[in-house]
Amino acid sequence: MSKIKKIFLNGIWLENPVFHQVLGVCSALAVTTRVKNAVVMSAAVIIVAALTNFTVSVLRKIIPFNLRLIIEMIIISTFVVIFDIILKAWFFDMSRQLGPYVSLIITNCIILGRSEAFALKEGPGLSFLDGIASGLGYTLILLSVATVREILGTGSFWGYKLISDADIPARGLSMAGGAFIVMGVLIWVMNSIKLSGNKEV
Amino acid sequence: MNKGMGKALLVTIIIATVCALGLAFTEKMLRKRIIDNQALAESKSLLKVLGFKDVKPSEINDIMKNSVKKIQFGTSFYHKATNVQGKIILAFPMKGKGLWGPINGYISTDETRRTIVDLIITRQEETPGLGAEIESESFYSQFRGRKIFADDNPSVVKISVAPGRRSSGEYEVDGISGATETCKGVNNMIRNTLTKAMEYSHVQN
Repeated sequence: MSKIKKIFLNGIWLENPVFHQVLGVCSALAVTTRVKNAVVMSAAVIIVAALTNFTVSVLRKIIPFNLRLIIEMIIISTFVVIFDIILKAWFFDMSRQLGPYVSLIITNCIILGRSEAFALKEGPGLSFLDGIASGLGYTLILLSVATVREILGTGSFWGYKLISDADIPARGLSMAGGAFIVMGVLIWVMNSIKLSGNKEV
Repeated sequence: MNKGMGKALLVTIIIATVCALGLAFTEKMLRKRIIDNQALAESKSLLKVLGFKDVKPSEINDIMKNSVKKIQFGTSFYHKATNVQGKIILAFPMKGKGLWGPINGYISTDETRRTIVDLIITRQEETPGLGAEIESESFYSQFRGRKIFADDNPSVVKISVAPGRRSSGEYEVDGISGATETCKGVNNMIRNTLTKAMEYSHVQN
């Protein structure tokens, strides 16, 4: 039980893939103009990370050590492409908006990183949970950045207008540069909170 | 080759084969749905430039069948429809080249083929944040109601997209700064389509 708790604590907070390990930042910057896109992207990463970790863990005893990266890539690509096909079949508009970023989950370091660091050593059940935990860590950052950018940059939330077009406070945040600023501030804030927590312990 | 290497290769080949079969199966199961979705999105774009705004997905095929007429001219075609206000609108498919890949879309004009009604980009692979901005309402809206020909020369298409800069003059629309090549591609595409549309203006049915 405590092991499961530790997995989630690590994945979401202590070793959060984005603000602690600074992995998967490329897509985190690209899809955070709208909260809706961020949610779908997060779901994709959680599902792919969990399934990949599970599969790699099941196969970990027969995967040849020197070919393991290739095999991990094959497994990751399979799940990502299947998710992409399902998105195109049932959520066509969403798939158009996310564009190439769903396919780019293949190169998302979070997923390869977790299967290397965790799934090759631990059992399938724990690996599956570790994938979910890392995915949730990614989700936390994605949703925070997307909320700030959508509200301040486009004056809406989940597509609903909150602020009239004339009064949008920081239109620049919806541009690529705005993503770097929000992400930078967020990493700074999160790490400060974490460090101050460490001192007390 | 030693024995360990042979086993490693075998395992890799088996895993790769299983994954490939899984992919092929998923693709086969869902292919029809995806093709239908693409066709529906294409029709929705076409209806938008023809003046049918906010059409429900379930109504698209009905409107396409009952209100939109496809007219062949030369080796190409255009679509003709009467909009809600009773005006006849013509929509011409556009094909062009951008910086990274093909650009497709529709441009619609009034019955005289002298004023642009609307424009939409249905396919582009331009740089996100720069060239890809051609696929946005703010880019489309610049074209609405613009005159295609100068009053003193009604045979040469005059409207153009300013390459990567703000427009100057009555017959230019704003380009996108940082996306000069994309703007040139869109400009050529629009002008070619409109020129051809005028050349075949005698073809009515």
